[in-house]
Amino acid sequence: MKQNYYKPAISSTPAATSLLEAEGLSAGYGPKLVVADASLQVQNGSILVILGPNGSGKTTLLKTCLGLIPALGGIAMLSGRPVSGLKPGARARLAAWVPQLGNSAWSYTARDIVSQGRYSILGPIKPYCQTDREAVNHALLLMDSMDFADRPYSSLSGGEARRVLIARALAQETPLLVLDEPAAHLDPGRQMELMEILKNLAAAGKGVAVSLHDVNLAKRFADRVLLINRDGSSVFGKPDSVLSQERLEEAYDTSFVHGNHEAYGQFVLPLARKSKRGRP
Amino acid sequence: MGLFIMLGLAFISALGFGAIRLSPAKAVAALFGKGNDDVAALIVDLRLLRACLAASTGAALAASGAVFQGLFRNPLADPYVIGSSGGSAFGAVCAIALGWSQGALGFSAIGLAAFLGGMAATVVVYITAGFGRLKSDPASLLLAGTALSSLFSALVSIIIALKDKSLHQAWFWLLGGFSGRGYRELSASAPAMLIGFVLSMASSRQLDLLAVGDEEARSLGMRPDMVRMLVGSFTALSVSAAVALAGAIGFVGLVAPHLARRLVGPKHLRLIPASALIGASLLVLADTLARTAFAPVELPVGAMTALIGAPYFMYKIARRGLEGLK
Repeated sequence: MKQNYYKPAISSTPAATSLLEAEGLSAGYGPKLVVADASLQVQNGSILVILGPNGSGKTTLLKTCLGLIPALGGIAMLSGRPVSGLKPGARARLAAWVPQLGNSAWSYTARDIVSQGRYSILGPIKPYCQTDREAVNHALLLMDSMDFADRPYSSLSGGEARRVLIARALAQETPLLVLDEPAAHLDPGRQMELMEILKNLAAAGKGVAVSLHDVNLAKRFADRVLLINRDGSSVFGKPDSVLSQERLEEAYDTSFVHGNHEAYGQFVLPLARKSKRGRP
Repeated sequence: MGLFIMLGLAFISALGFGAIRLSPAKAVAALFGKGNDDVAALIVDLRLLRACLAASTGAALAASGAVFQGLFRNPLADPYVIGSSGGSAFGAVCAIALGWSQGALGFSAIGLAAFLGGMAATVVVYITAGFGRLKSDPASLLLAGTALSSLFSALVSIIIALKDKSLHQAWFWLLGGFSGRGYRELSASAPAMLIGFVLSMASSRQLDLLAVGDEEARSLGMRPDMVRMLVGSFTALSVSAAVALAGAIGFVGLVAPHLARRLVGPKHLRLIPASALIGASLLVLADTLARTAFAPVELPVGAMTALIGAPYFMYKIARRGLEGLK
């Protein structure tokens, strides 16, 4: 996949700006609190990886950061503006959301789905013009999706559909991309490819917030990590400090082997579940 | 383009067939005032009006069907899904049973009662589905619509049982048809149908976005609840106007969008006008058939559309299940 022709919609400014910031954010559905008092920040040109065991609330937290579900406490800000006060259109111009599983009624093509990313720019009436077509083609090319651009979206494989959803987010031309477990169900090659793409987007000045299950991908690609524990508490910081042996053991209730490879650098491998029956 | 030709052919057949049969050439000549046959000109005038009634009703119902299927992401939604046919039927039967004769705004008394009944039903459905939550998720709306339709059909049965003299007229009205309607009725309903059509075209991009689900649509910058509320309301306006004109004609609004989707794909900017053209052609043909099949007895056109539409639908489902409808 070619990666060198991506031109960012916003020029990368030397000064770091905060694209996403959360202070004491509590997230959950209705009265049920899932993540409590989380704080995090994503600056332009950097990648935040959110880690945590199944059901720890990674998706819930990301949706709350974007204002897709209301916060139960604390505050989330996109480019310095509280997300609760943003209209959907304004929010969609600041941050693009890549859901875990997309679905679509009717037989829209992959290209139709990607062109939905232009809605935040065009609104309901303004005609779709050359600029929009180019942005969509560009996003499809970048995600290596041209081959199936005109096939029905619902007929694509899981990996292909994922790439289409990321392409849609790119067509939205937002400073911030938020992705919910984009590496799930991808083979190792596609996983590395995805992470390289995210790295290049960050290098081009975008901010990226992404939830993952693979601790090693986080170690390798993250500028910042948020690790959510099973009790809903979380730690935010640089990968080296957050992904320590003790913290990983506590969060995943699993012991890890830590190693070092001359080409790869530091890595961890899960060794054994600590408590046999779920929570101690 | 092909769809315009199809509508043209439907019109010519509607002009030609009837108690006095005219050849297509003669019908077209009379239509453009070229023929010197006064009788033919008179017949064509009458039949043209009738075809216009059928075409505008069919177009409004089919376009509305496409919109509601999009709003609910459901291939089984039809123009009456949020209860407007039930409300219209109730309004109309009230007017018939109580012998109202005072029309207004160009509507006949029955038409006006049907129109108001349909709009009232829509309001009740939206209030029920979104009560206190200011939401309008598809499932609540569908359920509220179904429940309200049952309620109205119960009320209609009760009224007819109490006032059995009105039975025949009410029965014919409920099945739908165009006999006895003229320019006055058409011009009363046309503005509302046109407004509904233009506004639904204007919201076609939002209907496309709804296909990926409310949450994704919201993340892309849209307000699904608001869209479902607004677009649903003005489409209900169009449907109520169509029902006021011709009664609750079934199946056109369900079948035409499926045919259109096969021809032009799912994007609403093309789907809505294509559905309208197909719906118009279908209803013109169905009405011609209803007039001529057992002439001089005229069959209810609603029965004709169901007679054509239901087997088509069953065929599609038998072949590919729900997938066949997508």
